[in-house]
Amino acid sequence: MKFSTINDILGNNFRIRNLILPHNHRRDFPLVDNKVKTSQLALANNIPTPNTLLHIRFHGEVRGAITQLREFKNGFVVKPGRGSQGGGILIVKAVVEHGGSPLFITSKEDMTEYRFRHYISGILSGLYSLDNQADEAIIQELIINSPNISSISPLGVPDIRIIVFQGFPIMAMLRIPTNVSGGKGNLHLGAVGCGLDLKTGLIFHSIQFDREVTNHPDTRLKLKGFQIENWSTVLSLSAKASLLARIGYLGVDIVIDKSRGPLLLEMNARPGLSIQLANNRGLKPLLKKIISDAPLNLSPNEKIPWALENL
Amino acid sequence: MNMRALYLGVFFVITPIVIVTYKVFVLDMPFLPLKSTDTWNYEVQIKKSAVKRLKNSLQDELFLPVPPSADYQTVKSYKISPNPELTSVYRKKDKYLAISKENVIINGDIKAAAIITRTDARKTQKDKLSKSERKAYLDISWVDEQGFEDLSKLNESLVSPRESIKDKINKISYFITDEFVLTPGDSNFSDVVRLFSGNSLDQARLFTALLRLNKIPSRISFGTFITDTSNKKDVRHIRAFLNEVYINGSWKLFSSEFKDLDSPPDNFLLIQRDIDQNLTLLASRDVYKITVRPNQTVFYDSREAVENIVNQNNVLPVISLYTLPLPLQKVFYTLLLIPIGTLVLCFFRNIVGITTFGVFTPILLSLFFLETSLLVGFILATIVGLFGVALHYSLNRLYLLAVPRLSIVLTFVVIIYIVVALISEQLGLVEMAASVISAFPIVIITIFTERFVIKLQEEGIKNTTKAFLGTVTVAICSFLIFSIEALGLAVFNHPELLMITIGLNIFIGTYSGFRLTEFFRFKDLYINR
Repeated sequence: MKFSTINDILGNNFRIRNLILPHNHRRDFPLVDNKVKTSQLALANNIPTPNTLLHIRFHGEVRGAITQLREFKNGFVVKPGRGSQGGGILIVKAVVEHGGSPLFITSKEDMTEYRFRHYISGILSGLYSLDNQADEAIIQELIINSPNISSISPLGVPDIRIIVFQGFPIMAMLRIPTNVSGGKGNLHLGAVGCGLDLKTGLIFHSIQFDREVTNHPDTRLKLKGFQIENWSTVLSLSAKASLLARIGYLGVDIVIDKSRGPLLLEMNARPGLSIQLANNRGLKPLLKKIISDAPLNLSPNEKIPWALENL
Repeated sequence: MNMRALYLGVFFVITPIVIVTYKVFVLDMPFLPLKSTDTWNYEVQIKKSAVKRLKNSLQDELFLPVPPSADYQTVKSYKISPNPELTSVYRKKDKYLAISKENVIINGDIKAAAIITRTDARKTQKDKLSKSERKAYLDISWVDEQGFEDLSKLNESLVSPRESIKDKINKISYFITDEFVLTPGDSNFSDVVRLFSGNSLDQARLFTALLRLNKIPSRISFGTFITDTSNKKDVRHIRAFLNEVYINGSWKLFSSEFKDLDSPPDNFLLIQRDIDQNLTLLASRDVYKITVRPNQTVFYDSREAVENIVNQNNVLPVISLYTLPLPLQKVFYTLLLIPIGTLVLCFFRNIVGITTFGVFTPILLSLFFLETSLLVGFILATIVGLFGVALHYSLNRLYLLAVPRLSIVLTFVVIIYIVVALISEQLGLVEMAASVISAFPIVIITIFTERFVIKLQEEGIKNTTKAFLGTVTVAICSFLIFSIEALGLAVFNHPELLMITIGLNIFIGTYSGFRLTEFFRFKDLYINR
């Protein structure tokens, strides 16, 4: 294993000044910030992504939307179009009829139609959006863990975060929701972050709250050595997504669905720094290597082997 | 580091320093504005023992030397204790307060207090003299024969009859200022005339006598010069007799203590005009105990001083905020602090790595603290914050849309202000009541209460507390920096100093090293291997 020194670690100021500002152009941000746009773009380019069931733009559409959503008995996910850090995401596990009106069974609580409608209004009013401006709500199909993934993350759907720099995947981690994180995949809320070996998709290091853990805090399952299925598909998905997004320093989030396999969940133009802790190594040497050594004219398909070979 | 940014940053830091250095050392402008007290608490006390002693020797009334309103000063209020019947205290000819002899109560101290504001005299009050008044102000019958003879000789040596009134006054006043030697103790007036020496009253008498001899109406007045305000409880001041001269239809003050002969300096308070010959006991400390205390201090950089410097040195007009009207100056004083606050904020966010609620919330909070006081501001902010949270939860059940809900919270906050203001006024907490007026920044904080609650629900107590403590830390730090009066005054005096904050922001903005908190966050990556 490689050892890091303090100079290898990517800090927030360096990230903003030397990565995000020069490599990520503001005009390209909406494409990744807005889940609706990301989803449409992915669909248009044959990149598998969770299906969008509904798309609510205005308060007036909420009532009609709920009538439709009543029919999705097997559940769905409600997301703010421009949410940040997983804020505002509501997982509806099932819809049941209760005395003539629907009851939405969510991961947090059971919501009446009235309560559920209020929740969506909150999203539209911009309660969870990046800039507190009026937002849209997007309803997507529920992702169901494959049995393999389920064995390591029984509490919820984990996602794979891959940092893609100029088209080269350079670092990856798996984010496993825990009880502490409230079923969310956010590391600062207490989700477990597992460093993934870029070549094999094997977990080799894990953290919770920025400090090393060896077992899942809820299930006590050993994390190290776990293998992500379809790893090569995951990698190529991340490279393809970054090509579409035109964002130089990008975080790509991928989930693995039981029936559909790896799906592009969303992208992030300001990926966080904790991935370094999960991988137990700093990002800087990898970025430097890409800048100094990476051949310029590689096709997207050639970038992955180069990255695996050289990083 | 980016060289262009480096040069620009250095430019922005160096330029204002050069400009200010030039202003201070070459143009001789003050770095900090001069401070001046514009409102004074004046108090005169006659001890019970003195009252007794006086009453026997009084002719018909007891004089209370309480400053009158004049061109240079305004008496805002005065009160006399023990409070005798209103009719028994009167202001005689708008000159001094007096209590008639029969109304003087012997069984206690007599006190008179007044609040006086010093103003710049823009207009001089016209005062028409009647024939009899004119005669009285030309009267020199009190000078004895020997004195009169000496006086006439002195006058001949000083002025010639053909000179203009103005020249005569100038010559006499220069003579008094330059030649007269102040000595303690009483002396015979003819000695005063011969020796050019005596006490303050003698000096004033000599001046008056010389003027009256030249048929210029004049009178003796009484005032005090505040010399040392460093000890606020015991401000030193020197009582002095001085002269008023009737020129061009109005009375003008003259004193050898004045820098500009005919305009009183800022540290002078006029206490009594037109002193009767028998009022010599004003000079005596054991009868009238006069104390003066500063009430309110303002800073000023006299506009003329700046204009003079511009004229003398032929430089381009210097930008001075003092040319603005006073209320606007106050606004700018606060406004100029904001860039300093944001600099502090940048430092904490990008160098230290502290998270705060919203970007500018801490600055708003610290401005609010500055307007009130740390304690009062904190209490009020806490009340509003707690109330906002409570209201949020109780409104939650109504499932209201976000913006109307926010307006409801805001409305309630305004109602809280009314309640707090009324209650604190009732309880006599004047400071608290007054602070509510400047409560506007806190209204904005209500909006952040909403975000606080959402963060609390989404991210839990730990992360919310972190951001909350960060916000308070930054707010208190910038409050402490705002409290350095010299800093605010320096920027107000030399607004170009703000360029320094631009330069420093460029430096912070180009910093791509670690934030201090990251050393802790990533410590597992570089320690214990």
